[in-house]
Amino acid sequence: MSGFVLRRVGLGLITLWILSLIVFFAAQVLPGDPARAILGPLAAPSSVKTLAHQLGTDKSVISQYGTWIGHFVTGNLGTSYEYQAPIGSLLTSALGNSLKLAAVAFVLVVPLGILGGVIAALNVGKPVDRVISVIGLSATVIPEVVSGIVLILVFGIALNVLPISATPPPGAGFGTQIYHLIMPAIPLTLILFGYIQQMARAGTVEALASDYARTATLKGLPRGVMIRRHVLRNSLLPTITVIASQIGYLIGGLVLVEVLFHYNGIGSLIFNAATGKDFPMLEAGVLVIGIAYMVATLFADILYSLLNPRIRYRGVE
Amino acid sequence: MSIGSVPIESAAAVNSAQAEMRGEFLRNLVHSRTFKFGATILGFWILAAIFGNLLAPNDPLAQNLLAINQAPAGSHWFGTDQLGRDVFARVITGSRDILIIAPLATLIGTVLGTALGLVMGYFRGAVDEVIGRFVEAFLALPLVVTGILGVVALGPSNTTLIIVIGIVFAPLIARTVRAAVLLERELDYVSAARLRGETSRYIMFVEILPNVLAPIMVEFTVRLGYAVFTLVTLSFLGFGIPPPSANWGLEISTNYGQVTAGYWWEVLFDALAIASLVVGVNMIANSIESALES
Repeated sequence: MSGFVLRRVGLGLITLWILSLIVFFAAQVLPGDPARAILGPLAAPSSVKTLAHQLGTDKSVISQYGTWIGHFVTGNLGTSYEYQAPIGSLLTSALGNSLKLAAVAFVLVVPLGILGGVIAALNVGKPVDRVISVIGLSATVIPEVVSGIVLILVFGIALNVLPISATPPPGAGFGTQIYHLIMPAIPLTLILFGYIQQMARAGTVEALASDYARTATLKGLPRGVMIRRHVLRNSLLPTITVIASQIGYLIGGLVLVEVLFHYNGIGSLIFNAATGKDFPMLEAGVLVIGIAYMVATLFADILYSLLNPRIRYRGVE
Repeated sequence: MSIGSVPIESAAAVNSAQAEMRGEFLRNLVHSRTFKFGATILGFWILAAIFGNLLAPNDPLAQNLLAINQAPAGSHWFGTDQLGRDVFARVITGSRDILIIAPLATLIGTVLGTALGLVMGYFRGAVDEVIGRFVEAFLALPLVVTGILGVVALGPSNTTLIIVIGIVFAPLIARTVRAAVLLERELDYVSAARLRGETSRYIMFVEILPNVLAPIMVEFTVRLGYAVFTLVTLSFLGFGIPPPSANWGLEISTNYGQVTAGYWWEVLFDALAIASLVVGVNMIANSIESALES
């Protein structure tokens, strides 16, 4: 088991290193001279040169990468061009906000997805199953822009029951904060619903067809008890890993949702950094997202191997 | 056992069996209700992209500052936007750039991903491990984030979008193709080709590739839906197709500030158009997948 984890962590670190190269190359090398980008095309060459020296962008690309990644590993994420403040603290508060939004989305989608999957599985082939599956499949492919806009128009404006900004007024209590996050969480929920529902459905269908389910039925166990005790326990294992593996998607969805609903999270931070050509902020934000994704998938893999011994033993080989 | 006793199917028999399978696949596909529905939606938007200016009663670019933010009515079916442009005309012609960029990007991603997947699956070992790390690194970022990064790096243009989305799709498709190739390479026809002394390139592209086309085709249609998804999202964020030609994502972002004033028609129809196109493409993808399975 520890061998499996060590190997996964090692490979993950190599992947992260490659990712850091890609991010650095895309945000630091390709867009051209950052000093020129900040000062604009009309600035005097001498002031561009001075700023380039201050930023350290007049050094060689390799030494720039070395400095950047060296600082990053020791927890110094650099200084934002735009805010002239350390990126670390800006990023931490943005991450905290995003986590809140993601948590609301998960609290909504996990029970709904599992419930939808189990109901569909208990009615395989019947209209209920087909309706839930079609809704799930369609919800998964419709971009958050579309669902977000429709939600804003219906619940935010026509019915006026939910606030259209995710940011609560300053000093708002926990309840108000959650209230403001409900509508932004729904587009994320819609996309995730399809995945979770399909996995829960497949797992339940398989468990229902198993020998132990048949034995339970034949020994006279009431259907409700059989489903609760035997089917659900086994069918939900793969669903748990799907949920963990959707973290990556979730972060991507956050960019759009946070911009649409005016929320200060990691997604809007990356968006603002990219529009404002705040390259250190963009690099740090993207790399942090990569790390979050890798940690989440590693967690999902370990969880799955703990739940499924067959994978665990194969991993040690 | 002598070589003569091994039954060898004639090339003609193999060809006719393949043609029969292809025929059955097409029959399954055409008879599927999902496919018909999806194809109708996609067909509609393709027609709108080509003949949009003829279909729409007004010019999508013509501004009329005396008639801004007008609610839907007889003269403007979907109303007008903040510059007095006809929303119906802009929705109808808004698919054009999307339907050019999305298929091209998906095609690049599919070709690149197929080549990578073939190489990874066929050679395995060190080659697979090294390319695999790069694939993993790309997959660690959400599509939209890689898209933003790519547009920052290369500057906003339609070519950038095609390249960036293509490059992002390549690792995803490579992973699927690799898995299919790993199964194929163990089969007899591959060993036979190797014994004949064929080159690796010949075996990968002439022997194995035709046999892994089914998953590639499914990937292509599924990715096409995601390409539209990504394009619309990037356009909404301002990293997509540049103005002034109409496109749905950009329309929503420019008119989005107006919804609190009650001008719902300036964003709702674009949103519905996006939803219909993505759902249509995905219906085609689903029906191709199930036609291949049966």
